[in-house]
Amino acid sequence: MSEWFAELQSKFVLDFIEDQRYMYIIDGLKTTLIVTFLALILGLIIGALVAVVRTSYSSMREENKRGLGGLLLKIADIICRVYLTIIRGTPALVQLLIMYFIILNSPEFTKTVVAVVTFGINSGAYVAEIFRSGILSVDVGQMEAGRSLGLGYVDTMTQIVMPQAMKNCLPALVNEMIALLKETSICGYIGLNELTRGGDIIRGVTFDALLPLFVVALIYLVIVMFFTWIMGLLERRLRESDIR
Amino acid sequence: MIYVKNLCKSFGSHQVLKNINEHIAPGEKVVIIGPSGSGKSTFLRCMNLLERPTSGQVIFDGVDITDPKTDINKIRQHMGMVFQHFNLFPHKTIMENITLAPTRLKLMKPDEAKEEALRLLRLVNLEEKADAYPGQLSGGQKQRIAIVRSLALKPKMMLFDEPTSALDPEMVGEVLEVMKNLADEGMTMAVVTHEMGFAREVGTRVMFMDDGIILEQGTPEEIFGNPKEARTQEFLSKVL
Repeated sequence: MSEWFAELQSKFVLDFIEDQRYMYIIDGLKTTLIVTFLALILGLIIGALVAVVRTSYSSMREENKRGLGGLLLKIADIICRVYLTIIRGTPALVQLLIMYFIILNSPEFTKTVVAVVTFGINSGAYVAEIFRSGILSVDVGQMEAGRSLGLGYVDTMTQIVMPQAMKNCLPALVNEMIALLKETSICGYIGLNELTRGGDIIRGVTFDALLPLFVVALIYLVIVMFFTWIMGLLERRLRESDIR
Repeated sequence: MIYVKNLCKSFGSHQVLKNINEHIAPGEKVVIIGPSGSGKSTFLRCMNLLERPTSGQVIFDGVDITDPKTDINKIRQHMGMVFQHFNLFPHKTIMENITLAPTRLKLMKPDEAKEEALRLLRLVNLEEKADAYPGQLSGGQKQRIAIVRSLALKPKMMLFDEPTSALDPEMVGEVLEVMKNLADEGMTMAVVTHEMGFAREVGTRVMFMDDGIILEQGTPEEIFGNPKEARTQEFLSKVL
């Protein structure tokens, strides 16, 4: 037992302490968090826009669809649907490679930028559908009540429907955030030194797989648990109005 | 106050309202009764354009509200609506429910709106619920709040779409009481309801709707005491 423990200790020194190899993990973690955070913001913006376009087009009255505004919204709706189909229909890794080798294939785009753009666009598609289902989950009576009080469509949407929709889709949204964090691990394919690749580099140098990979896994796990905890707090706050 | 001209409404191939012509004068309390599916809710909802008529006109206070150029939001401020399922905003307190529209539409300053809300809450004996959320209220209380929420805009007319149908029987009275008081104050009202007692007591005119038309109408005494049409007699024999 003590022998095994001593070996583990020396492996630990070899993997992380020698040549300051722990820096692979620290730098990787930093990159992973930056990419996740920025992609999340981009995804939320894209997702909100797409969801608003799609729900307002589908709730539009037939006679209003004929005007110029209706035509523009129709075009926007078609673009959104094509976007959703392509992004959800192809693997994120393929999208990443296409983005890196074809679309953003220029020295001015760093690997981090490529990763943020790819995952932002990718996540946006899923977030859009989450937002849309959240908006649809709010009873139509809420929209009718708002409108019957003389509030406009936008006011009713932002003051009455959206806050309730956000509450309904929060768990799904956190789920998407967790999936996004873990999915950034494929960025190693374009040579971005994120967390997973950091651990893998150590494995390549020291020929020890166990510790680096388990440490990487543990870090992901801790971050995900942290997200889940934050969500719990947030949900409790949003439930304030549910007390009976 | 409100004129309805040649009003037709179809959902797909199903025609719900068949060429309705009607006028409701200021101060009238019109009660609309009829079997389910007769189009009475749709008729009511066409009056504030929650349902857009397939053809025909609705003229409120001299303004053709079916004209696409009319700012319907402005019109709706003057027409309160109360729904069967209350439709209070669950994420807002009672006070916020009432003050949202008046402040958002810049009709009142926040202080003013709050004061007015408290005054109205006092009228329905729910002052102590100002900071509660709708989820904490009973059905009857919710509906009284919903009425107050509409009144906060000082409407010229109130539309009631089966306001007591979703309530437990013991809570119907408290809501009808509020509506009665409102009627006594001279509010113009159009009420779709199954409460025949209310229709008889408060209504100045009763309309019987059947199959998309107003089949028969008159004073409560005429309709309940001496209905002319066979369908009206049949309906009343079932509900009275």
